[in-house]
Amino acid sequence: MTSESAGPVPDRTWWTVAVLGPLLAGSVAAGGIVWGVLDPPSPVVQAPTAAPAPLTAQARALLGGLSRGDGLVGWSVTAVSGPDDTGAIRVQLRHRALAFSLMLAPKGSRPEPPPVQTEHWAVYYGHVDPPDAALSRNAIRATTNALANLVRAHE
Amino acid sequence: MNGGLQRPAGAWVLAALYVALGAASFGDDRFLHDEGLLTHLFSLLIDRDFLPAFFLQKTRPPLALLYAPVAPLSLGAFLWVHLLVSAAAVPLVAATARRLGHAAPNVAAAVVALSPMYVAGGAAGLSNADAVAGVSLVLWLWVARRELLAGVLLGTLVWVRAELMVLVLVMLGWAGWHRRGRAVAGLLVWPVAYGLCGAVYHGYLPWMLHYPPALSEPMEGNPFWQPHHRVASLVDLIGSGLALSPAIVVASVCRPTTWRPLERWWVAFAVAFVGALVLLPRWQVFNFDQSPRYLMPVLPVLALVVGRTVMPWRAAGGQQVLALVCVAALGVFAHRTGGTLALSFTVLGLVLAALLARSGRPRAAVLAVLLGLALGPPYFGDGARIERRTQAAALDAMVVQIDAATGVRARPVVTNEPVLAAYLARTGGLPGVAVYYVVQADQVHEISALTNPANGQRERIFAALRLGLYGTPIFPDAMVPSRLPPDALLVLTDDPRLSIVMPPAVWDSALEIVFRGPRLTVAQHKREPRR
Repeated sequence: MTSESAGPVPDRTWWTVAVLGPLLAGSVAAGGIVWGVLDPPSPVVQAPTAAPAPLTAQARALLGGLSRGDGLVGWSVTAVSGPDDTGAIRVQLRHRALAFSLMLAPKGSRPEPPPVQTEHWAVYYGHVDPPDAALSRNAIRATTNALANLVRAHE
Repeated sequence: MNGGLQRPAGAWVLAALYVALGAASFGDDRFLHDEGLLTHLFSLLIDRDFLPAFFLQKTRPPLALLYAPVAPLSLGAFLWVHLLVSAAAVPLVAATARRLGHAAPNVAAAVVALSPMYVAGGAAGLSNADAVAGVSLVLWLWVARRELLAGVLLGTLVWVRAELMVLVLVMLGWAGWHRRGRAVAGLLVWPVAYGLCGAVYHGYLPWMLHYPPALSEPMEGNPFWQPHHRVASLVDLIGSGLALSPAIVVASVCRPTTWRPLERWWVAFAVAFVGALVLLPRWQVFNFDQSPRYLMPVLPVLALVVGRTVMPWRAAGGQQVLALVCVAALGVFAHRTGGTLALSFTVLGLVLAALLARSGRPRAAVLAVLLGLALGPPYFGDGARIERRTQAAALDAMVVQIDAATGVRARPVVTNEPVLAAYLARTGGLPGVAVYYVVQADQVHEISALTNPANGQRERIFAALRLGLYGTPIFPDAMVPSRLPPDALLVLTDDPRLSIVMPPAVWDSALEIVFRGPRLTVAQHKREPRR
């Protein structure tokens, strides 16, 4: 038994319950951490309302070849798709645990005024994940303007 | 280090650290929370019209009275005083641990001072944090044998947080077991005095039952409460527990044989309290949700259990090993089912501390626990669900949209977001913007049901609320398109209750959508087409 102050000499035997027990618990915890790092659990994904439309060559050209793995003002592009049935092109972005989508919609195709627009396209944002997270004002401005600049150079 | 863990000065340093952590959040209003604004509002009501507000049990009268002198100064002044009141729990818990004979009383104080949830609650102005300070004082009075005062205070605290009734029952059990009538007498002081004074005010003896502190059931047909009638998942509970304190893992290896009898009563309170919070919403008993902040009052007891466990540190026995392995397995399970690895890392930290103690370095072990506690506020706070970015998620987007829609002249903003007016006022980002708050139907229903119309209380409470309620209030009967300012900007969060005060049949044709984003809609009066 270990006592915290002066007194009997601490028992340094390592094969007792007092040592092996914590080691066992630590092994379970460490194993869980290693497992989590090597094989991250699949995130709980909500059923998509529709499969993302494949990226067409015109859309790829419009975005200047922007594709998965590229960076956009500090955000990583995780997917690019479209145009879909409504003509919209989606760019999914992620930074650490926060993800959201930018959407290019043909100008005039939606009733809401977009934060940024180009000659032919309106840039919207949404689908924040996790849903209760908030995007900062700077993140919205920077990413929508960066995408708009990219489109302006190629439209 | 032992001196620092034992001397009263160490507890005051920890209290100062607690204040510093809370004050650091004021800069970006990280913990601005509608429940904290409500605590402030109730104190303002006491200042605006004392008698009707004081005898409205919903206002948490003792607490409203406590902050009434400072509330009219500003929200900022109120939050500072609230933080300082909350900080009092730190030396109180240390003093209690000292009286109980703890070897290192400041370990318990550190658990309180570095609790992520308590730091957030103190800075946010939540009444749950006041309950922690109150319970800490009750425990100190109790162990100091000032049972009458402990009873008086605890009897009063039930009018601050009704869930503290669990501690009242425990005190009654203790008083009955040990034949301590003074504690029972103390428990009766506030209810009797307040009840009799209220009977004079209301002209009605059973007024407390007729006008209770809260509705026992939500308004019929109110869609807001339906999502709350869910069961908290194990992952949620683990996150909440770690937000209360990462040291909760230490409690899993506690040794009840080292507790004094009084500590056993208090642990019984903590167990019964947590059990009630988990089970009552599941059974849909009483009208409250699964917010983790309800757990806060057990923090002083948790702190005392942790203090007992780590000093003196005893070698793990079979029970402790079994408990720790189960907690470790729980950590793995939590991560595989959608949680974080926080519990696994916490278990690893505890194992490290246990091995340090085993190798003859008990002080290093305690230091490891303290370091783990220090990591709490920056890394374990998410489970408290108090941060503004999660509780008012659309707020930043709102400010962007108001900014974008505002020209040279500021436009009045009509919103259902309770935090918006305070956020704009405190950040000063959009000067001159007048904020009107859309009072929800269930809020009017609750105030109406809890106030007495016969003696004029109801009318006077509504008059006092018209002076300010999350901005300038617009009550449902005034919420018609023609009565809004013509240039008003409606900034609305997704709230299922909104359709009650803004029926789509009336409003859809009157508004044009300016922006629709995640959880947020911005609209304005539909402009007449130019001819």
